[in-house]
Amino acid sequence: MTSVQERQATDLMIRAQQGDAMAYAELLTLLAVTARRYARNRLGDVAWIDDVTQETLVTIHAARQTYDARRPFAPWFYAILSSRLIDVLRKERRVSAREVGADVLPEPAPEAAATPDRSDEVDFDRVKAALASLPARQREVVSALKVQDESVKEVSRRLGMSESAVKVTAHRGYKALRRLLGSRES
Amino acid sequence: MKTEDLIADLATRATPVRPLASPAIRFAGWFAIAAACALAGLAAFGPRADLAEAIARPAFMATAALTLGVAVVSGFAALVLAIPGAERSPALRMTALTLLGAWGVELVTGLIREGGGFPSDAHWPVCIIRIIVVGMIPAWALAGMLRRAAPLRLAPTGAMAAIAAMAAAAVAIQFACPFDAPSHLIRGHFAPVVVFAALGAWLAPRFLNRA
Repeated sequence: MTSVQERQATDLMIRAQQGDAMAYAELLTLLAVTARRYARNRLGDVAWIDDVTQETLVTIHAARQTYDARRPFAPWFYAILSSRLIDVLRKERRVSAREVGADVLPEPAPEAAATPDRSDEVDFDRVKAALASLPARQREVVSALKVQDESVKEVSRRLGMSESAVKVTAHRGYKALRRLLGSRES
Repeated sequence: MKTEDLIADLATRATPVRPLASPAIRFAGWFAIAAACALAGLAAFGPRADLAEAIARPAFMATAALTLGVAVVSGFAALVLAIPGAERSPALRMTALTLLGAWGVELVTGLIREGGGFPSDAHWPVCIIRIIVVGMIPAWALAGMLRRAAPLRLAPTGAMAAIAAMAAAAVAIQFACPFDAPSHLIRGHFAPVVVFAALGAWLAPRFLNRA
């Protein structure tokens, strides 16, 4: 973050603390770019750069009252960013350690390949197996939203999570499901 | 969810927030609560009968000063830890732990010097209960202050907060408790601070809001 960006971020944060939504959106956009660049410099071009960015933004939202305009912005921001980067890194390591078994999901039956057009059909057993291999919280959120058809608000209330956290968790769950099911978009 | 959508979602919830006061000001507020609870505890349990004589002894006042130092430094450290980027180095935390260690060393040295190990003593559980009773409100107040902030390192923050609240209570109880034997002070005054530090570190990730 350059000194010009830091000054800009400070101004935007002061306005955001006063409830200025436009300034807040501008600030988060600026910080998202910085966070993405920072994470890419440290981790390389890994798939979960967006996770680090989004976790950082959610934390900034939850912690915005702790920013003191008399203090420099960069240490506040980078403390949050590096903490979330470490958290996501740990989580990804745990998930990838658990996901070893998911690679041996049953292959589609050979006749399925021979059948001309079954692309719209859903193999529920595969979906169930993939869902079962998700981390508990992701599985719970995805099942609630997509199987039990609950709203984000209902899930957030029931699981005691913020709505943003529900959305981020669901997003990760969908991404993992796509990966497990062979990247076919839903 | 795309990052752009998340930003749009968060921006719709940009309600005005009141920036937190500096850790020093918040600490002053917490210390006032802790001091009031300590005085109330001392009034409720009654000062020891030989208080004037005890205060005249340098060893008694040194222990009280050390315990008070532990409470002050660890309380301030907990509040600093709760502000992202405010802790520039772990010096404050290390100072709190060093003071806690010095208090422990002082008591163990006294125990060795006196000899006799840990004789039977029915009063130390009473002191533990009193320390918990007096420390409860400062602990609750500090936890509330930490929840309003955004600690990123939860276990150290919880440990510092617990040490602060229990050490502040231990100072008060030292002026009420009629026993000065190191074996009693280790079990009844020092041990609860250490045990609650571990409990605070364990509870913090479950209790404090993860920023």
